[in-house]
Amino acid sequence: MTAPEVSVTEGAAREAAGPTTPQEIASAFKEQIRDAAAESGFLAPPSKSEKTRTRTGKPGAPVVPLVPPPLWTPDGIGSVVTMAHDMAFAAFDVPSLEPEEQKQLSNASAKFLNAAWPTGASWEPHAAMVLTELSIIVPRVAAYQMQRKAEREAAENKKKISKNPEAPETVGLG
Amino acid sequence: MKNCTITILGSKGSGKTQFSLRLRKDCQRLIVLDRLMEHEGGFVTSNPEAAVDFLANNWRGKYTLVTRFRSEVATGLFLRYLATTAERCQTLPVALLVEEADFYARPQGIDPGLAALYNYGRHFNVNVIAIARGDTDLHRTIIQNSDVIVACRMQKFSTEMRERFNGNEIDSIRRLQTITPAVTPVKGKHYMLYPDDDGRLDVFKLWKNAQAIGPTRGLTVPDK
Repeated sequence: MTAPEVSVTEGAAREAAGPTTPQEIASAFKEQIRDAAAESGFLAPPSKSEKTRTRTGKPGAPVVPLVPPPLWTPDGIGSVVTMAHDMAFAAFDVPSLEPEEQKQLSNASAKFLNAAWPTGASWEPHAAMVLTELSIIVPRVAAYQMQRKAEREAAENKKKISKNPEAPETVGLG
Repeated sequence: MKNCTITILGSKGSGKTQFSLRLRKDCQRLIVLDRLMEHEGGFVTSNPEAAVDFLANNWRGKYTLVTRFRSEVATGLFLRYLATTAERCQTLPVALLVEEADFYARPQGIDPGLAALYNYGRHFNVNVIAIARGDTDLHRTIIQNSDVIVACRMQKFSTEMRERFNGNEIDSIRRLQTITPAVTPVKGKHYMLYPDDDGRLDVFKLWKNAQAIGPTRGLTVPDK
Protein backbone atom coordinates (compact mmCIF):
# COMPACT_ATOMS: atom_id res chain seq x y z
CA MET A 1 0.00 0.00 0.00
CA THR A 2 1.47 3.28 -1.07
CA ALA A 3 1.00 6.59 0.63
CA PRO A 4 -1.51 8.92 -1.04
CA GLU A 5 0.09 11.43 -3.33
CA VAL A 6 0.28 14.97 -2.01
CA SER A 7 0.63 17.91 -4.34
CA VAL A 8 3.53 20.30 -3.89
CA THR A 9 1.24 23.14 -2.88
CA GLU A 10 -0.65 21.02 -0.41
CA GLY A 11 2.56 19.62 1.06
CA ALA A 12 4.02 23.09 1.50
CA ALA A 13 0.85 24.26 3.17
CA ARG A 14 0.92 21.29 5.55
CA GLU A 15 4.57 21.89 6.40
CA ALA A 16 3.92 25.55 7.10
CA ALA A 17 0.99 24.62 9.29
CA GLY A 18 3.13 22.22 11.34
CA PRO A 19 1.74 19.16 13.06
CA THR A 20 -1.98 18.80 12.64
CA THR A 21 -3.08 16.07 15.03
CA PRO A 22 -3.18 16.32 18.82
CA GLN A 23 -0.67 13.49 19.09
CA GLU A 24 1.83 15.15 16.73
CA ILE A 25 1.54 18.43 18.57
CA ALA A 26 1.85 16.57 21.87
CA SER A 27 5.08 14.87 20.85
CA ALA A 28 6.57 18.25 19.92
CA PHE A 29 5.50 19.75 23.24
CA LYS A 30 6.71 16.77 25.26
CA GLU A 31 10.22 17.40 23.97
CA GLN A 32 9.95 20.99 25.17
CA ILE A 33 8.62 19.80 28.52
CA ARG A 34 11.55 17.39 28.96
CA ASP A 35 14.04 20.13 28.07
CA ALA A 36 12.43 22.55 30.52
CA ALA A 37 12.26 19.85 33.20
CA ALA A 38 15.95 19.11 32.76
CA GLU A 39 16.66 22.78 33.41
CA SER A 40 14.30 23.46 36.31
CA GLY A 41 13.66 19.93 37.60
CA PHE A 42 9.90 20.31 37.98
CA LEU A 43 9.29 16.66 37.06
CA ALA A 44 11.06 15.50 40.20
CA PRO A 45 8.72 13.99 42.80
CA PRO A 46 7.58 16.37 45.55
CA SER A 47 9.65 16.36 48.67
CA LYS A 48 8.14 14.84 51.78
CA SER A 49 8.27 18.15 53.57
CA GLU A 50 6.35 19.99 50.85
CA LYS A 51 3.18 21.47 52.27
CA THR A 52 -0.10 20.90 50.49
CA ARG A 53 -3.51 22.31 51.22
CA THR A 54 -5.15 18.90 51.59
CA ARG A 55 -2.78 17.54 54.18
CA THR A 56 -4.76 15.49 56.68
CA GLY A 57 -4.15 14.61 60.30
CA LYS A 58 -3.11 16.68 63.22
CA PRO A 59 -0.45 19.29 62.55
CA GLY A 60 2.90 18.44 64.03
CA ALA A 61 4.59 20.48 66.70
CA PRO A 62 6.48 23.44 65.33
CA VAL A 63 10.16 22.75 64.96
CA VAL A 64 12.01 25.07 67.33
CA PRO A 65 15.74 24.61 67.86
CA LEU A 66 16.48 23.96 71.52
CA VAL A 67 19.56 26.14 71.50
CA PRO A 68 19.13 29.07 69.17
CA PRO A 69 22.21 29.93 67.18
CA PRO A 70 23.97 33.07 68.41
CA LEU A 71 23.17 36.08 66.34
CA TRP A 72 26.14 38.08 67.57
CA THR A 73 29.45 36.24 67.12
CA PRO A 74 32.97 36.99 68.41
CA ASP A 75 34.24 36.90 64.83
CA GLY A 76 31.58 39.34 63.64
CA ILE A 77 30.59 42.00 66.11
CA GLY A 78 33.54 41.09 68.40
CA SER A 79 36.13 41.99 65.81
CA VAL A 80 34.29 45.24 65.09
CA VAL A 81 34.36 46.14 68.77
CA THR A 82 38.11 45.41 69.10
CA MET A 83 38.84 47.39 65.97
CA ALA A 84 36.89 50.34 67.35
CA HIS A 85 38.83 50.13 70.60
CA ASP A 86 42.15 50.00 68.75
CA MET A 87 41.21 53.04 66.70
CA ALA A 88 40.20 54.97 69.80
CA PHE A 89 43.42 54.00 71.60
CA ALA A 90 45.50 55.02 68.59
CA ALA A 91 43.80 58.40 68.60
CA PHE A 92 44.77 58.99 72.23
CA ASP A 93 48.33 57.61 71.85
CA VAL A 94 47.40 54.71 74.09
CA PRO A 95 48.83 51.20 73.55
CA SER A 96 46.50 49.03 71.48
CA LEU A 97 44.89 45.79 72.68
CA GLU A 98 46.96 42.67 73.25
CA PRO A 99 45.82 39.49 71.40
CA GLU A 100 44.49 37.98 74.64
CA GLU A 101 42.60 41.17 75.43
CA GLN A 102 41.19 41.22 71.90
CA LYS A 103 39.89 37.68 72.32
CA GLN A 104 38.45 38.47 75.72
CA LEU A 105 36.74 41.63 74.51
CA SER A 106 35.32 39.90 71.41
CA ASN A 107 33.81 37.07 73.43
CA ALA A 108 32.45 39.42 76.09
CA SER A 109 30.85 41.80 73.63
CA ALA A 110 29.25 38.97 71.63
CA LYS A 111 27.93 37.35 74.81
CA PHE A 112 26.56 40.65 76.08
CA LEU A 113 24.76 41.46 72.83
CA ASN A 114 23.28 37.96 72.57
CA ALA A 115 21.86 38.30 76.06
CA ALA A 116 20.79 41.93 75.88
CA TRP A 117 19.74 42.05 72.26
CA PRO A 118 18.74 38.57 71.12
CA THR A 119 16.55 39.81 68.32
CA GLY A 120 19.37 41.76 66.67
CA ALA A 121 19.08 40.92 63.00
CA SER A 122 22.44 41.90 61.61
CA TRP A 123 25.43 43.76 62.86
CA GLU A 124 26.15 45.79 59.74
CA PRO A 125 23.93 48.80 60.59
CA HIS A 126 25.36 49.03 64.09
CA ALA A 127 28.93 48.70 62.86
CA ALA A 128 28.24 51.37 60.26
CA MET A 129 26.92 53.69 62.98
CA VAL A 130 30.00 53.12 65.16
CA LEU A 131 32.35 53.70 62.22
CA THR A 132 30.53 56.92 61.34
CA GLU A 133 30.89 58.18 64.88
CA LEU A 134 34.56 57.23 64.92
CA SER A 135 35.17 58.94 61.60
CA ILE A 136 33.82 62.14 63.17
CA ILE A 137 35.56 61.84 66.54
CA VAL A 138 38.98 60.41 65.61
CA PRO A 139 40.18 63.19 63.25
CA ARG A 140 39.28 65.83 65.83
CA VAL A 141 41.08 63.96 68.60
CA ALA A 142 44.09 63.36 66.34
CA ALA A 143 44.26 67.06 65.43
CA TYR A 144 43.98 67.99 69.10
CA GLN A 145 46.78 65.55 69.97
CA MET A 146 49.04 66.96 67.24
CA GLN A 147 48.37 70.49 68.42
CA ARG A 148 49.18 69.51 72.01
CA LYS A 149 52.37 67.77 70.85
CA ALA A 150 53.47 70.83 68.86
CA GLU A 151 52.77 73.10 71.83
CA ARG A 152 54.85 70.84 74.07
CA GLU A 153 57.74 70.86 71.59
CA ALA A 154 57.56 74.62 71.26
CA ALA A 155 57.62 75.01 75.03
CA GLU A 156 60.67 72.71 75.32
CA ASN A 157 62.51 74.62 72.59
CA LYS A 158 61.80 77.89 74.31
CA LYS A 159 63.18 76.49 77.53
CA LYS A 160 66.37 75.31 75.73
CA ILE A 161 66.83 78.71 74.12
CA SER A 162 66.49 80.49 77.47
CA LYS A 163 69.15 78.18 78.95
CA ASN A 164 71.62 78.63 76.04
CA PRO A 165 71.13 81.99 74.27
CA GLU A 166 74.01 81.20 71.81
CA ALA A 167 72.38 78.11 70.57
CA PRO A 168 70.92 78.31 67.01
CA GLU A 169 67.33 79.32 66.85
CA THR A 170 64.85 76.49 66.25
CA VAL A 171 61.36 76.94 64.99
CA GLY A 172 58.58 75.01 66.59
CA LEU A 173 55.51 73.74 64.84
CA GLY A 174 53.16 75.87 66.90
CA MET B 1 -23.55 34.50 22.24
CA LYS B 2 -21.85 31.17 21.57
CA ASN B 3 -18.69 31.20 23.59
CA CYS B 4 -18.76 31.96 27.31
CA THR B 5 -15.99 33.32 29.50
CA ILE B 6 -16.69 33.73 33.19
CA THR B 7 -14.64 35.34 35.94
CA ILE B 8 -15.54 34.55 39.54
CA LEU B 9 -14.35 36.93 42.24
CA GLY B 10 -14.70 36.92 45.98
CA SER B 11 -12.92 36.76 49.28
CA LYS B 12 -12.00 33.49 50.93
CA GLY B 13 -14.93 31.30 51.85
CA SER B 14 -17.35 33.36 49.78
CA GLY B 15 -18.41 30.46 47.55
CA LYS B 16 -16.21 30.89 44.48
CA THR B 17 -15.21 27.26 44.24
CA GLN B 18 -18.76 26.09 45.00
CA PHE B 19 -19.98 28.26 42.15
CA SER B 20 -17.38 26.73 39.83
CA LEU B 21 -18.37 23.21 40.92
CA ARG B 22 -21.92 24.02 39.85
CA LEU B 23 -20.60 25.11 36.44
CA ARG B 24 -18.46 21.97 36.21
CA LYS B 25 -21.53 19.77 35.97
CA ASP B 26 -22.31 21.00 32.47
CA CYS B 27 -18.84 20.38 31.06
CA GLN B 28 -18.13 17.32 28.95
CA ARG B 29 -14.54 18.28 28.20
CA LEU B 30 -13.07 19.96 31.23
CA ILE B 31 -9.50 20.95 32.08
CA VAL B 32 -8.83 22.30 35.57
CA LEU B 33 -5.70 24.17 36.61
CA ASP B 34 -5.92 23.18 40.23
CA ARG B 35 -2.82 24.44 41.93
CA LEU B 36 -4.19 24.19 45.47
CA MET B 37 -5.79 20.75 45.12
CA GLU B 38 -9.42 21.76 45.52
CA HIS B 39 -10.87 19.71 42.66
CA GLU B 40 -11.21 15.99 42.31
CA GLY B 41 -12.57 13.55 39.80
CA GLY B 42 -11.32 12.56 36.36
CA PHE B 43 -7.67 12.21 35.51
CA VAL B 44 -5.57 13.97 38.12
CA THR B 45 -1.89 14.57 37.44
CA SER B 46 0.97 16.86 38.31
CA ASN B 47 3.08 15.66 35.39
CA PRO B 48 2.78 17.91 32.33
CA GLU B 49 3.86 15.10 30.00
CA ALA B 50 1.09 12.87 31.29
CA ALA B 51 -1.40 15.71 31.00
CA VAL B 52 -0.42 16.43 27.39
CA ASP B 53 -0.61 12.71 26.56
CA PHE B 54 -4.02 12.38 28.17
CA LEU B 55 -5.35 15.40 26.33
CA ALA B 56 -3.94 14.20 22.98
CA ASN B 57 -5.51 10.77 23.36
CA ASN B 58 -8.90 12.06 24.52
CA TRP B 59 -9.01 15.26 22.50
CA ARG B 60 -12.43 14.73 21.01
CA GLY B 61 -13.88 12.53 23.71
CA LYS B 62 -15.42 13.27 27.07
CA TYR B 63 -12.95 13.86 29.84
CA THR B 64 -12.09 15.71 33.02
CA LEU B 65 -8.42 16.53 33.41
CA VAL B 66 -7.27 18.01 36.72
CA THR B 67 -3.73 19.33 36.57
CA ARG B 68 -1.73 20.16 39.65
CA PHE B 69 1.53 21.39 38.18
CA ARG B 70 4.07 22.62 40.65
CA SER B 71 5.88 24.80 38.15
CA GLU B 72 4.88 27.87 36.19
CA VAL B 73 7.03 26.61 33.31
CA ALA B 74 5.04 23.38 33.15
CA THR B 75 1.75 25.29 33.30
CA GLY B 76 2.91 27.64 30.57
CA LEU B 77 3.89 24.79 28.26
CA PHE B 78 0.62 22.98 28.92
CA LEU B 79 -1.44 26.08 28.15
CA ARG B 80 0.55 26.61 24.97
CA TYR B 81 -0.17 23.03 23.97
CA LEU B 82 -3.86 23.57 24.64
CA ALA B 83 -3.95 26.80 22.63
CA THR B 84 -2.01 25.29 19.71
CA THR B 85 -4.08 22.12 19.59
CA ALA B 86 -7.36 23.99 19.92
CA GLU B 87 -6.35 26.16 16.99
CA ARG B 88 -5.17 23.35 14.73
CA CYS B 89 -7.49 20.51 15.67
CA GLN B 90 -11.15 21.43 15.67
CA THR B 91 -13.09 19.98 18.57
CA LEU B 92 -16.29 20.39 20.50
CA PRO B 93 -16.33 22.94 23.33
CA VAL B 94 -13.57 22.60 25.88
CA ALA B 95 -13.89 24.22 29.29
CA LEU B 96 -10.80 25.49 31.04
CA LEU B 97 -11.21 26.19 34.75
CA VAL B 98 -8.38 28.27 36.19
CA GLU B 99 -8.34 28.17 39.98
CA GLU B 100 -6.37 30.97 41.64
CA ALA B 101 -6.02 32.70 38.30
CA ASP B 102 -3.76 35.36 39.77
CA PHE B 103 -0.98 32.76 39.77
CA TYR B 104 -0.99 32.82 35.96
CA ALA B 105 -2.35 36.28 35.20
CA ARG B 106 -1.03 38.92 37.55
CA PRO B 107 -1.72 42.56 36.75
CA GLN B 108 1.91 42.90 35.63
CA GLY B 109 1.85 40.02 33.19
CA ILE B 110 -0.12 37.05 31.92
CA ASP B 111 0.97 33.63 30.73
CA PRO B 112 1.15 33.82 26.90
CA GLY B 113 -0.80 30.58 26.45
CA LEU B 114 -3.57 31.76 28.75
CA ALA B 115 -3.65 35.14 27.00
CA ALA B 116 -4.03 33.38 23.65
CA LEU B 117 -6.88 31.25 25.01
CA TYR B 118 -8.63 34.33 26.38
CA ASN B 119 -8.15 36.45 23.29
CA TYR B 120 -8.74 33.88 20.56
CA GLY B 121 -10.21 30.87 22.37
CA ARG B 122 -13.71 31.84 21.30
CA HIS B 123 -12.78 30.91 17.72
CA PHE B 124 -11.70 27.44 18.81
CA ASN B 125 -14.55 26.54 21.19
CA VAL B 126 -12.56 27.13 24.37
CA ASN B 127 -14.61 28.44 27.28
CA VAL B 128 -12.69 29.74 30.27
CA ILE B 129 -13.57 30.22 33.92
CA ALA B 130 -11.13 32.19 36.04
CA ILE B 131 -11.33 32.30 39.82
CA ALA B 132 -9.58 34.93 41.93
CA ARG B 133 -10.02 37.01 45.05
CA GLY B 134 -10.32 40.41 43.42
CA ASP B 135 -10.37 41.99 40.00
CA THR B 136 -7.28 43.99 40.86
CA ASP B 137 -5.35 40.73 41.27
CA LEU B 138 -5.89 39.86 37.63
CA HIS B 139 -4.49 40.91 34.30
CA ARG B 140 -6.65 43.21 32.19
CA THR B 141 -6.90 40.55 29.46
CA ILE B 142 -9.06 38.43 31.73
CA ILE B 143 -11.39 41.23 32.77
CA GLN B 144 -11.69 42.59 29.24
CA ASN B 145 -12.55 39.20 27.74
CA SER B 146 -15.01 38.13 30.42
CA ASP B 147 -18.59 37.82 29.27
CA VAL B 148 -19.82 37.58 32.84
CA ILE B 149 -18.16 38.61 36.09
CA VAL B 150 -19.57 36.86 39.14
CA ALA B 151 -18.83 38.83 42.29
CA CYS B 152 -19.24 36.92 45.53
CA ARG B 153 -18.73 38.59 48.91
CA MET B 154 -15.69 40.79 48.56
CA GLN B 155 -15.28 42.08 52.10
CA LYS B 156 -16.60 41.29 55.54
CA PHE B 157 -17.84 43.91 57.97
CA SER B 158 -15.72 42.85 60.87
CA THR B 159 -15.35 44.03 64.44
CA GLU B 160 -12.02 45.58 63.52
CA MET B 161 -13.71 47.73 60.90
CA ARG B 162 -16.36 48.76 63.38
CA GLU B 163 -13.67 50.12 65.66
CA ARG B 164 -12.07 52.12 62.90
CA PHE B 165 -15.14 54.06 61.74
CA ASN B 166 -17.43 56.57 63.38
CA GLY B 167 -21.20 56.22 63.60
CA ASN B 168 -22.07 57.92 60.30
CA GLU B 169 -19.49 55.94 58.40
CA ILE B 170 -20.71 52.68 59.88
CA ASP B 171 -24.27 53.55 58.84
CA SER B 172 -23.07 54.25 55.29
CA ILE B 173 -21.25 50.94 55.14
CA ARG B 174 -24.28 49.10 56.49
CA ARG B 175 -26.50 50.69 53.82
CA LEU B 176 -23.97 49.70 51.17
CA GLN B 177 -23.92 46.14 52.41
CA THR B 178 -27.70 45.98 52.51
CA ILE B 179 -28.04 46.86 48.85
CA THR B 180 -25.30 44.45 47.83
CA PRO B 181 -26.61 40.94 47.23
CA ALA B 182 -23.09 39.62 47.64
CA VAL B 183 -23.40 40.36 51.31
CA THR B 184 -27.08 39.95 51.98
CA PRO B 185 -28.38 37.10 49.80
CA VAL B 186 -31.24 38.13 47.52
CA LYS B 187 -33.44 35.34 46.18
CA GLY B 188 -31.04 32.79 47.61
CA LYS B 189 -28.04 34.04 45.66
CA HIS B 190 -24.70 34.64 47.32
CA TYR B 191 -23.31 36.54 44.35
CA MET B 192 -24.04 39.36 41.97
CA LEU B 193 -23.50 39.40 38.24
CA TYR B 194 -21.97 41.95 35.94
CA PRO B 195 -23.08 43.33 33.50
CA ASP B 196 -26.65 42.27 34.20
CA ASP B 197 -28.15 41.65 37.61
CA ASP B 198 -31.86 42.20 37.13
CA GLY B 199 -32.78 38.57 36.78
CA ARG B 200 -32.67 38.36 33.00
CA LEU B 201 -29.14 36.96 32.82
CA ASP B 202 -28.94 33.30 33.77
CA VAL B 203 -25.25 32.54 33.94
CA PHE B 204 -25.81 28.81 34.30
CA LYS B 205 -27.96 28.69 31.18
CA LEU B 206 -25.42 30.77 29.29
CA TRP B 207 -22.64 28.42 30.32
CA LYS B 208 -24.65 25.33 29.46
CA ASN B 209 -25.42 26.69 25.99
CA ALA B 210 -21.74 27.45 25.45
CA GLN B 211 -20.93 23.81 26.20
CA ALA B 212 -23.41 22.58 23.62
CA ILE B 213 -22.27 24.44 20.50
CA GLY B 214 -20.97 22.38 17.59
CA PRO B 215 -17.83 22.71 15.48
CA THR B 216 -17.76 25.97 13.57
CA ARG B 217 -15.64 25.20 10.51
CA GLY B 218 -17.91 22.70 8.88
CA LEU B 219 -15.99 19.77 10.37
CA THR B 220 -17.77 16.75 11.71
CA VAL B 221 -16.36 15.86 15.07
CA PRO B 222 -17.25 12.45 16.43
CA ASP B 223 -18.33 12.67 20.04
CA LYS B 224 -17.23 9.46 21.75
